[in-house]
Amino acid sequence: MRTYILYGFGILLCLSGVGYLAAEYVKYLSEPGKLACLMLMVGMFALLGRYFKEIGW
Amino acid sequence: MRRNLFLYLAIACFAALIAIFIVDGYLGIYDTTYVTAGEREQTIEADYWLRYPPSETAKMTYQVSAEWGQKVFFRYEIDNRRFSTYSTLVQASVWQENEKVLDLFSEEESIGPFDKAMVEWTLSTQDLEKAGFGVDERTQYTVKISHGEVERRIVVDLRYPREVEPTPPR
Repeated sequence: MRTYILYGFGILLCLSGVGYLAAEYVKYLSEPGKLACLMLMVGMFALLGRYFKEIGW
Repeated sequence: MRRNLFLYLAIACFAALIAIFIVDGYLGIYDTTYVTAGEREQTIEADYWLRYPPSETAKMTYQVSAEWGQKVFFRYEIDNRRFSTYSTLVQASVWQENEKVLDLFSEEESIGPFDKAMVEWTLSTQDLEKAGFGVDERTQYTVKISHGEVERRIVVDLRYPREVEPTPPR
C-alpha cells in the first residue's frame, strides 16, 4: 500500500513538473505550432486510450 | 499487434510534440541588446520581451540609469534562426513624451540564414543638448529600437550628477 502511495506521489510530481515546463515553454511557440501541439496531444491521448482499451483496462 | 500499433502511434505523437517544441521554439528572429552606462553593462535577452504575449510586448520597457554627461553605449544583436535571409531596416531613436527627439541609428541589414548581425550606436547627452533637450534633476528618455514588426523600448533614466566637494590633497 505504501509503495502505491509513493508511486502515486512520484507520478503526480512528474506530471506537475512536465505541466509547469510545458506551460512556461509554450509561450515561445508560434500560433500554428501551438495548434499542431494541441492536435498531436489530442491524438496521443486518443491513441493511448485505444491502447489501454485493447489490453483490457 | 494491433494494440501495439496504437502505442507506437501514441509514442510517435509524443515525439512529434517534443520536436515542435524544439524546432518552433528555437526558430525565429531573436534580438539581444547590450547597454553600457558608466562601468556597468546590462544585457537584455530576447527572453525578457518574450515573457509576455505579443500584444503586451509593445508596452514593455526596460530601464537603464545613467548620469548626465555620460555616454550610453548600445550594441544590438539580431540572430536570424531561419532558413531564409532576413533583410530589414534597423532603426534607433530617442523619444520623450511621444515626440521624437533624436535619430540615433538607421541602417539596412541583410542577415543570412542562421547568422547574426551586430550594430552599435551611442546616446550622447551632448547630442540631446544640441537638440534643445536637457535634464532637471532627473529626466527620462525612451530609446526605441525597431526592425520589421519588432519594437523595443528602453527607458534611459538620466540624473544630473550631484556636486561633489573636491577633496583637498594631503
